[in-house]
Amino acid sequence: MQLENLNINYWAIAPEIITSLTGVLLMLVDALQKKAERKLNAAVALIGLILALLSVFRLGDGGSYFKGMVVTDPIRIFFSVTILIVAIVATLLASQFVRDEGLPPGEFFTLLLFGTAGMLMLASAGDLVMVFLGLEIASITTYVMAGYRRYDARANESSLKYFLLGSFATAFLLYGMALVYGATGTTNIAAISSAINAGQITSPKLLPVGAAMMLVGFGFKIASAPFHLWTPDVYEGAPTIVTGFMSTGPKAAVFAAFLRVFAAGFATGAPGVGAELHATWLTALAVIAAVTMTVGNVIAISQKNIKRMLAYSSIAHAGYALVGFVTGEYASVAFYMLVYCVMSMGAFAVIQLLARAGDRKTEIADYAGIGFEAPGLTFSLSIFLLSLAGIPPTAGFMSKFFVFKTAWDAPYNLRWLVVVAVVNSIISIYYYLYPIVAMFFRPLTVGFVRPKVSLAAAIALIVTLFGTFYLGILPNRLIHMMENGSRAAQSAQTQVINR
Amino acid sequence: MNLITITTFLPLAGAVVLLLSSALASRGTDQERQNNLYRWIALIVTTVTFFVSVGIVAEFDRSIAAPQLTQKVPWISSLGANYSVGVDGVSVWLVLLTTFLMPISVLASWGVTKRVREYMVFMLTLETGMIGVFVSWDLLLFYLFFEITLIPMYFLIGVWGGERRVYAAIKFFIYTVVGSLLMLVALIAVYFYNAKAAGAYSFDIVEITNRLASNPGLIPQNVKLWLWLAFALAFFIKVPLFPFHTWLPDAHVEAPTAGSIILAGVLLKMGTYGLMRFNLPFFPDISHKAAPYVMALAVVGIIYGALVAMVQPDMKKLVAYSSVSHLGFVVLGIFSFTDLAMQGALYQMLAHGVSTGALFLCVGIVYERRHTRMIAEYGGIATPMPQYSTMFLIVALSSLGLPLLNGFIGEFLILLGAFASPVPHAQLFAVLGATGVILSAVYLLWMLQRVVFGEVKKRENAELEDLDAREKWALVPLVAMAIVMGLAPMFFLSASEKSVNAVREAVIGKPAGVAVER
Amino acid sequence: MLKWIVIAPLIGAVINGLFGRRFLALFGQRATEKLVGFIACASVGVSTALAFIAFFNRLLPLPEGERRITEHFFHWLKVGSFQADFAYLLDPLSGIYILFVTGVGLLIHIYATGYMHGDPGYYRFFCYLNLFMFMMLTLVLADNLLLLFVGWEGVGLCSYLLIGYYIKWDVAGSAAKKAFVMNRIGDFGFMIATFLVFTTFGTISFVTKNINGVEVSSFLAQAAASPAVAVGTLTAIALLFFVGATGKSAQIPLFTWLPDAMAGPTPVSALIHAATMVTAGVYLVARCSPVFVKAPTAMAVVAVIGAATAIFAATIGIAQNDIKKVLAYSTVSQLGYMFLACGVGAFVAGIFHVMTHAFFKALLFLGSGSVIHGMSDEQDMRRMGGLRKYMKITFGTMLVGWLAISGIPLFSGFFSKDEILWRTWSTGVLPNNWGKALWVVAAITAVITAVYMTRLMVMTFWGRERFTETRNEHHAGAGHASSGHGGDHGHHGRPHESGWLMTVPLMILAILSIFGGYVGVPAALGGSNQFERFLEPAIAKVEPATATHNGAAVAPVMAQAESHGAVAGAQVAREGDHDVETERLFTGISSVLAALGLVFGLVFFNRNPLWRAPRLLEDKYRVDEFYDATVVGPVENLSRDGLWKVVDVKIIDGFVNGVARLFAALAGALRYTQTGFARNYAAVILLGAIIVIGYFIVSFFGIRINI
Repeated sequence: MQLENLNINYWAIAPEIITSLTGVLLMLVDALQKKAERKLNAAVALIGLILALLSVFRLGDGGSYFKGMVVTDPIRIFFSVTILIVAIVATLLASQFVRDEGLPPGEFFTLLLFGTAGMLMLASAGDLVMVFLGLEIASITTYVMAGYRRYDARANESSLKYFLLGSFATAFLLYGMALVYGATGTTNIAAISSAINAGQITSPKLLPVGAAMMLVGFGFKIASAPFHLWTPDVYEGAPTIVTGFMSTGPKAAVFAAFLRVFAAGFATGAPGVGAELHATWLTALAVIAAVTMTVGNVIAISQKNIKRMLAYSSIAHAGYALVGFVTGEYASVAFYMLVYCVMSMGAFAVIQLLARAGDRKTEIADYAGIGFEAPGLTFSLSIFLLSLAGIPPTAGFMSKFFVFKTAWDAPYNLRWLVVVAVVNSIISIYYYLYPIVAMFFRPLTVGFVRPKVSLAAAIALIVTLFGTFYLGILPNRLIHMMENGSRAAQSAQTQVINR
Repeated sequence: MNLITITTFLPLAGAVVLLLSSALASRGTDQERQNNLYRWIALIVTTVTFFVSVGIVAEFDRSIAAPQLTQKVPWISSLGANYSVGVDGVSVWLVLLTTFLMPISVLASWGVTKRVREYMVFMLTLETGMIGVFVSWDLLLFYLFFEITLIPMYFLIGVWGGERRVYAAIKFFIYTVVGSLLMLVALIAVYFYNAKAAGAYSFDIVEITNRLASNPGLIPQNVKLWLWLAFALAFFIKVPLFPFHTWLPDAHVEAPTAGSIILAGVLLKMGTYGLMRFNLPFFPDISHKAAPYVMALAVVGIIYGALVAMVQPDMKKLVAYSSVSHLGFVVLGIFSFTDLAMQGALYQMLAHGVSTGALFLCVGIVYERRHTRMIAEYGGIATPMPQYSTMFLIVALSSLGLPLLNGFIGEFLILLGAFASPVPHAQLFAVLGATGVILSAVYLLWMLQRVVFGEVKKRENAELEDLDAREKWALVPLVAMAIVMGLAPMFFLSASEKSVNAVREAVIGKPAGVAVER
Repeated sequence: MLKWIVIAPLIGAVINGLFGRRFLALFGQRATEKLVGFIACASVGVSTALAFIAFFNRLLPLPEGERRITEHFFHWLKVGSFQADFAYLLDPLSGIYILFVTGVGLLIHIYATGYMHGDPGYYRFFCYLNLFMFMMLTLVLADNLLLLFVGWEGVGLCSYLLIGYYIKWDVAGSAAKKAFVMNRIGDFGFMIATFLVFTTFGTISFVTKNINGVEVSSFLAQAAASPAVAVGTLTAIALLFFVGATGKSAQIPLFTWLPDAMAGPTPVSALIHAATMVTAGVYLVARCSPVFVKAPTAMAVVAVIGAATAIFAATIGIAQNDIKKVLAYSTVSQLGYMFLACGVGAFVAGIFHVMTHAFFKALLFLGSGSVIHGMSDEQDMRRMGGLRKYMKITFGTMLVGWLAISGIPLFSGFFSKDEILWRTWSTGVLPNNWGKALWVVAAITAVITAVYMTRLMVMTFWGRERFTETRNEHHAGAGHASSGHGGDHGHHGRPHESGWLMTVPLMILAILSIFGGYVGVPAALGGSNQFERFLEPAIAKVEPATATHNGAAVAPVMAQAESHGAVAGAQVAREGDHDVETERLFTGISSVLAALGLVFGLVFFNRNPLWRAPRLLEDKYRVDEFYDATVVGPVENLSRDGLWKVVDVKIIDGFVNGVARLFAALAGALRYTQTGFARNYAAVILLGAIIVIGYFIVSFFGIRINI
């Protein structure tokens, strides 16, 4: 690429700009009005996010801007959409959450928006530096959100743990980046890949070590074994809505960056170091995927708290997504993360509503017999759980199917991984059925008051439900888009490389 | 609009109507009246569906083996998956069986008072799922329906079931899912092998069948074996074939009457249907090699099921185990690879659906009166309930394979076909299987003797009132069907002949029939 | 024509079955009885009339050898090359059968209208009875094995329903079940035999059929014609059919159900368990005679089992006190005779005995029924005696029956039994001297028969009037407990003769029992065995070696048997003369034997009518107990404590639940990785990182590290 031309294009970063500006605007709104008016905040946030979403659609396909700092490719588009959907759903839920919890709404929405901005940056980062920036913004905001319920010890603990371990992992990432830079003399991912391809590596020793460290860093953020230990504690402690938010949005965003760095940067057919590197991280990730799935599912069996259970389930799902990852097919991963975000957000939404202020009712035992007391919520939750379990005709099935299919068809033998994944889904059924059993098959133990569901929350539920079924029954158009996209992306990639 | 599609989704539409119907029932009206509304809606929907499905038979052309009345709409084009439905000689009757049993099941559930609307919604969605399984000609679609049927049944057992319903429901779910997920893998594999040869992705069952038939070398032998096993396991569990059967008694005992009727009547058939539709045509050579072992298992199932049924103190468990035995016959027939046995197997599926459904209904009727299924609790109820007893007797006789009733045709054809089968040791299996005919008489008549005949030993039983109109409406059609199927088997068999033969010839090329050495 | 013979009773059954209850509601008991009774008898009457017309106007006029009328009703079952239709065959064999089935059946129907008077289940009873007629006629007229099997199982069903007719009575229930199950065991043999027939000959029809455009001649013809078929196969088929026969006709080892079957109303015992159904086994064997004659081993088995059963049952008969039980065992024993006949190749004689037996045994049963009726449900002979002055007609008619069954000359039973004995002695089918040995057995049986029948007569009609004495409950006959009809009218008043509805049939049967035998007077006794001549064509001939004389005619079904049939004729001609001598001699012997038994019985039992037979005999050799101990019990225990409670619950479910528990345990263990301390987590992350990085390094610079 020509270094002279920075190729500055503000439209190319419109989503990020819009979200960040909305964040700032929210601060002002909060400052100007006397007593915080949550409805207003929510509305502003929502508008901002929707605008951002629209702007994503007019990003156009392909292109790298700001000297390759920002790239627009299918990955970015799909993941940006996913992230923004998560953010929107979160916003819809948040308005009721802050009311019920009696928390200051302003900051919360601001954090949410900034976090989103960070994630969007992650998704669009074409340069390791950008990756780091995005990651930090996203992480720090979520650290705060996790502890947003100030008076709640559990929340604080969760936030603190998240922060400590998060920074620990980020260190790995950063160091890894440094080493890679040392090895290739650039932080631009495309350039790295072409450097590796061309064999112009100043110090071949540093490259693999750097890659390994970055893998550790990403591995932590997507909560893959053995870097998953923080997840259950953090997820359980954080306010349910935040749990939902950070178990989906950041994960998706990190996957985007992860994909771009590894599947694009470190994947090259070039013989020698490149090929060796490729093979190595593939094997490593394949193993990690297997371990992650198994650990997540098996431990989930013994969970009594639904948030904790879903924490493990999210670990497991990271594993499934990794299966798609190692096939090098963006589409399967992108689709998987989209579906996962939708159904997971849905599930957390219901849990949030059932849990009441201060997350008092999140033990599965609390769900006994409430099935027909609040059918709307309980049946939705059942659907989300069945979707997470991968039972047709829900999105969960389609995404799994898509991943398995891709893996089975992979250029290198990943069939063993498919079998592992299938066995895992069998195990997972076992615990996904728990809450359903509790809600419908068990008698009502304690008195149950049907929770009030605000319009916003209702909309959020409907959106997620619709998504769950739409993606499960008629995924055609989306899958089509993604596959074309990923094909285009690969070709684009190869062009970049060949240049 | 395609007839099959209508039949398939009519119940689902009905379910939607039900969901909205609470609006119909004006808020003020008391619970019971609302419930009646729901019951009637369900009954009407299922009945209409049945009559629509009769149209399918009317339209059905008996002279061709290929799927008919088909509709094919692109579904997930990038995967090569279509919404492709139709019926052939094998599936047409299974669809009819489903639609025939549903109104009866609804009638049988009239006594349900808990959450009637949700109950009926599940019933209707279940019907759509079941019909879908039989009419799908696209692997992915088939799998979708195959799995969908799980959820409503899971709820029916879990919510409206007996004391140990939770255990039963989970067991049922897990067992089935284990099988079906392994099948999913096999399915994906077949899909890719087909794509490799075809150059285009497709889930089209007919296409895949033909391709696998046309070049057997497409899939390496050892892989084939695994795929066969994956498919087979899924279906064996569903059937259920010994030793995968233990979920069945639990499920049956805990399920509500209608649940048992549907479970035994239709859900189990999905297993045998799958064997006929996939294992045999997809992997003829493996099926051929496996046949002796499968037949052996089937025979074990026949005898084992019968013996265990004999000693059950619980009527429903008894009938459940009898299903294990009867389905053993079906599997025996399918893997005999003779037109006689396979036609018999299909017929046995239908016959079992009718008579076992009726048996469960009979059990349910007295259960509603006495709230116990223990045989020991009854005795001599022929005195207070003569009409019921007559029906029960006929039903039992049809189940134990008395000539001129439906059960006999299937069993006889299966055993005769198995006896004439080219499969090694088939004659031995047939002879052993035939002992099941004796045993079925033992356990059913023994049950009758202890429940229906003799003196009225318990005071509670003396006052039981006989069948009411609703119960007659549920029971009489079944009994009538049992007799019709016994007297006029050709009406059914002539429709299935072509397709069944097609399946058979897929396995053993030459039309073997029976070798008559003179 | 033929189909109407079969269907007529069915119509009756359906009407009574569907509307009987309504009638009862509408017209009340009396009128309903009239109506139902009429419908039932009329329907049977119709088929009787048709049967006689069919036989005398249609069948007889045909020339010998072509006497076979077939009629196709409708296609029932056709899969591939397998075909079984509702099609009927009337030939001499089935002709004889429909004659006495409908005839005797009609009489018994009429009798029953009187006997069942006052029974609330009247319509149900006649529905079953008509249904039975339908099934029995289907069995007899069937033109293929499967349709025959339909009737075969059908009569079994009706027998089940009628034995268990007194639904409130537990004994009846279990007896009914026992009967059905034992029959099913027999049917098992029948089915396998059918399979073998089909796989061997490609058809199961008794007549040439056009299957898929190919003319397939009946399996009987093929069996007779083709030496190609291995004798082994034929033997197997024959034996399996015989297994079926032992079930239906209560032969060793499946005979124990018949005595219990007496729990049914007496007309049922007469019709089903004496005259018609139980002889179906003989019919089957006769029908398949072409197969049997080709399988000497099977023949031997049949003969031996027959003889054994005959004497075995007879000895038990001596010891029974329940009048119906005695007759039941005598039936078993007589059936033994019939099979003996078949076994020695004298199928015709067997059928002949079936017919005569139908007459006199029906007579005896109905007579005993009349007695029971007159004694208001008393069945225990020890509480009878001296009845002859109370019920003259019953006594008179039963006298005939008694003489007939004992084989006193000039009574029907004499001819058939004598025929059998002689054929047994002179048989050439069995190895060297078996015939003689079997003859001895049969002869002894004849004596015993005379004895126990005499005992029955004496205990019932002669001697002290014991019914006035106080009964001791220990001996309460089962039949009484039944109190089947009209409830339990505790003590009976004076015995009384039954109404004409019951006595007229008795008289008719008595006449038949006297003269029924004259259709088959053998040449040796100056007769010209019409019966045999007539039946011959339908029955396969055994190898010429056996001296079945005066039968040059050969079953037309047997294409090539024709040729050596002639030879047979020649030989017969030669052997003829001195045969006749010996035959006459044996006739003498057998009549003497009968007389001997009679006289002994009269003398002995008049002296001590309450003589107690050896315990073992009273206990029927404890066969039931033996079966329970060796088969029923063990199987039940195995199923309950072995299969269900161990294999199902412990092993299979144990395994499944075990797996579940394993995962749960694993999860529990792994949970401890979740200490909750950030430092531990950091440590683990570090560890993980080291592993990953280590792996990368190794996979890159593995070699160098080794240095």
